[in-house]
Amino acid sequence: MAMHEADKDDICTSMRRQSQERWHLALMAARILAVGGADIGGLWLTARASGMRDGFLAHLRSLIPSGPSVRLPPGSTAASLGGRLDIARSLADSRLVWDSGILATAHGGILIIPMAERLEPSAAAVIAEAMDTHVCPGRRPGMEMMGGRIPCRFTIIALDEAANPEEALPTALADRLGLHVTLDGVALVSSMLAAPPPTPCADWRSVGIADNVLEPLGAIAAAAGYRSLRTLHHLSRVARIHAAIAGRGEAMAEDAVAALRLCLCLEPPQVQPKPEQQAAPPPSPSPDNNAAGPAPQDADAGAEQALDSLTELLAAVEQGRVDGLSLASGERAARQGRKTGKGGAAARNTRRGRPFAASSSPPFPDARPDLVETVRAAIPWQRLRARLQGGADGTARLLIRKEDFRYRRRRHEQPSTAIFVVDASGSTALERLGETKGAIEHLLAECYIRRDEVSLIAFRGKAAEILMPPTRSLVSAKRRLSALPGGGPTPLASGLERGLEMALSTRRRGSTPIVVVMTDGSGNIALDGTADRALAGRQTERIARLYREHGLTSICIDIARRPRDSVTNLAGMLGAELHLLRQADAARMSQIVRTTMQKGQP
Amino acid sequence: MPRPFPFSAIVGQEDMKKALLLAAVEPLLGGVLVMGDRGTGKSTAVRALAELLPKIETRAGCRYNCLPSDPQPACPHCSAAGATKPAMVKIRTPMVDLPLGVTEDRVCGSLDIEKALVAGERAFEPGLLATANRGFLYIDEVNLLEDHLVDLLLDAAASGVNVVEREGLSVRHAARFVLVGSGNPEEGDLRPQLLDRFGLSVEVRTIMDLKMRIEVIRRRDAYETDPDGFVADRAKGEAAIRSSVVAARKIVKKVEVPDAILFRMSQLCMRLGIDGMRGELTLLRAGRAAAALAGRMTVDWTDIEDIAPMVLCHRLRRDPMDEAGTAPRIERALAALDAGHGHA
Repeated sequence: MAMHEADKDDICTSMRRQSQERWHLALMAARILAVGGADIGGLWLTARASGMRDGFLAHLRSLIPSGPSVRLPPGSTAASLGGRLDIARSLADSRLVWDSGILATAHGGILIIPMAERLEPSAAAVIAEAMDTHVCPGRRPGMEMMGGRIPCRFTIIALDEAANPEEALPTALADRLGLHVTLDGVALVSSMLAAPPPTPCADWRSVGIADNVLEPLGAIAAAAGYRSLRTLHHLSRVARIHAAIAGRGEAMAEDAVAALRLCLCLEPPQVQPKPEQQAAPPPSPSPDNNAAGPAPQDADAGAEQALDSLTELLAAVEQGRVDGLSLASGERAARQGRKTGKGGAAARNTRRGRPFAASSSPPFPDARPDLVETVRAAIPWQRLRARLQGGADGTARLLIRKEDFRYRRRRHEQPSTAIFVVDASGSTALERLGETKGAIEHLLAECYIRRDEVSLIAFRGKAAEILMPPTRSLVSAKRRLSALPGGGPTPLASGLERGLEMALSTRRRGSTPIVVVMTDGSGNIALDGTADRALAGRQTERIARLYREHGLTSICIDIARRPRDSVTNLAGMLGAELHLLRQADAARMSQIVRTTMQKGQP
Repeated sequence: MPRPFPFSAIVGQEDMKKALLLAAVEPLLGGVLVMGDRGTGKSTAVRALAELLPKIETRAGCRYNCLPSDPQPACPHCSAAGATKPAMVKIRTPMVDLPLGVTEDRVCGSLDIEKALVAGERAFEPGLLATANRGFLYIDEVNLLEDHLVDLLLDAAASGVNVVEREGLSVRHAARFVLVGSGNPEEGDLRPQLLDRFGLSVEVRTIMDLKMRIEVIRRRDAYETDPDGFVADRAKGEAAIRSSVVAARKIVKKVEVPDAILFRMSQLCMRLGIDGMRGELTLLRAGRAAAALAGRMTVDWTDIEDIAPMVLCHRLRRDPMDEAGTAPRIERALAALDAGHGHA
């Protein structure tokens, strides 16, 4: 019993320590951001909206007192970022009035992007352009040529509240932000500790970084899957700023380690922190400062040792033993590989397609007014308005007010997403998966025509697994499908559940999901992974009915040697079309799916 | 505005730099497609190239980049009568960034509706195609661009003219630009029709050589610390590239292609099963540009061997089951051709 208590205590202390370390890391990131500013792009803050996040932002703000702090309104578009015509004021003044654009107002200060994971890719592209060129991207017609270049240099704080891996910062933006801090797992208690007052720091640009530090830094970043050169650039700068804050004239290995933690969320392996643990009792200043402590005393020996620590870290990263890899950054890399950047935009966005109606409110913020409809709306009021203005009855000019503006609304066909849920259990699994892979490649080879997407979920053993998130890229599909596991019992319920989740999230993104379930029998593994056939059956039934409730289009393919009642029942519950395929062959399968995709259009 | 990062200071990515220079020498090539990872200096290279090229002459305030000697009727500035013409100015080669979310009106220009409604004027508001005239049009993430925009761009790029017939306007103006597209193949494929229209296609990969990576970081840092100083340091290298492009532009039309080379080019295309003449034609033009860039008046086979992958790679029929990609097929075809040639 006592043992048990002690264990619990241990867990508590370690959690507390971790929470405090994270908070200190966040504070260090804030300091570095205050020093580096636009030179390191900005800060990617992963945290849910909370008092802690607000506290952190306020602390950050206190470190960067000068310059404006602009919060990007949600739904900002390329036009509102770069400046656009202010219709209301233009009408009132009878001359063209342009507003200056959000990016220009943020010049010299901070641009906070709340809900950055929801940022439109086009808006992200505009921000990225401004970050690259330090010039306000001129959306105002003719500005490019008139030499009206408005300087625009700002530090970005992107607040990422992503709840699931499908939501992510637009890659164009994520790639340009140097620092990445997460406040997940930080206890409120730790965040209430007063931050150490900032000490003045030397100009970081005078801090050098030697090749023998930069090289392992680059190797570690590359090994951890960050191949972009921007990342390495940010790493080297953060390491130099870290050194400058610690009062060193040259970035050392510990600065490099700190940079890796701050930029890539790479935590050094757990064998290491033994000495650090002793040196850093909880209420002490940041562990980074502590680690930096001994360096100046015996610089040579310290440097040698520290370089070893970098080499060790590199080895650890290569073997995948490093903490951050599996958590934040692994996810980050996966997100970066997956996200098409267009996902939701295609369907919500009604910028293209056939016009079907006019509305008095713009369907998207920078919509263009429909000239004919606007004039038509204004005409009945002309005499009245002319009289009100006191002019003669027959003035040549149309008097148009803001409420007359009409906008054209458009709609276009939604793309479809075929979600294959494939039974990978039993002996025929390999062959079946192989043919499914063939079908997917067939579909993808043609899907660029309609911008359709394909995804693959396989279930076997204890649970289902997403082998390929929705994609329309043949290149990435091939890479992901190259190794397909098979064999084991049948967790049908789990497969259907994953399929349902994905179908619903696909629908939320504006695409029409089609679920293709391929199985040859009933499930024998319940959702929690236990081998309970009865429970599994009940769960399967419940989930299958949900498909029907949500009105999902589904196809059930029976691939057993003889048709089975269980599959027929399942198709009935799903409300699915039933097909029998003795041998699942790629061509027939893709044909069935394609037919359904085409007739599934509204 | 700080000057862009110099072209000559870009480390590695030789294929991309060569393709861009070829396109700068011979605008008829039909643009460059750069596919590859993020952060490989694609946009840096394009911006740098626009800075490096000789300035173009136009008139002050002209929004169509008219040649002073050949004013376009669409341009109210340059086609003004006699003495009211604005003065001639030299401007940097235009480089227009086409953002993903751009609208059709913004690309090809349209009636200035707000102006029409507010001021009661009927005016044509030139779009990005007019701004890009005689320069570069850069599309990042071209594979994510909306289809209707892609069609528009291709049409303008192929014809060199932008025709607007809408909302009671009828405007046509020159839109001769070098289309540069970039994107990440993992985020979606391009339609084959679009692929074929790009003259050259290169694949860029992140530099994985550690020494080179570090060199990139050092140069970038030096540039950001002191942009003007860095640019000044590189002025000589920039001038050398500029003068070779200028010289090549002068001679490119006169570069000769021996019949034997033409014959082998056709053989190469036939062996690879390339549909249409566009491949051969581009091979010819790119070969000329490459020879001109090297200062030679005759194309030799090494020029062709050098550029064949970037001209032909994206034109090969795609085999969805082929893992290796298309570049090895071209190399094999070239090698086979060499062997055959040896026999004959």
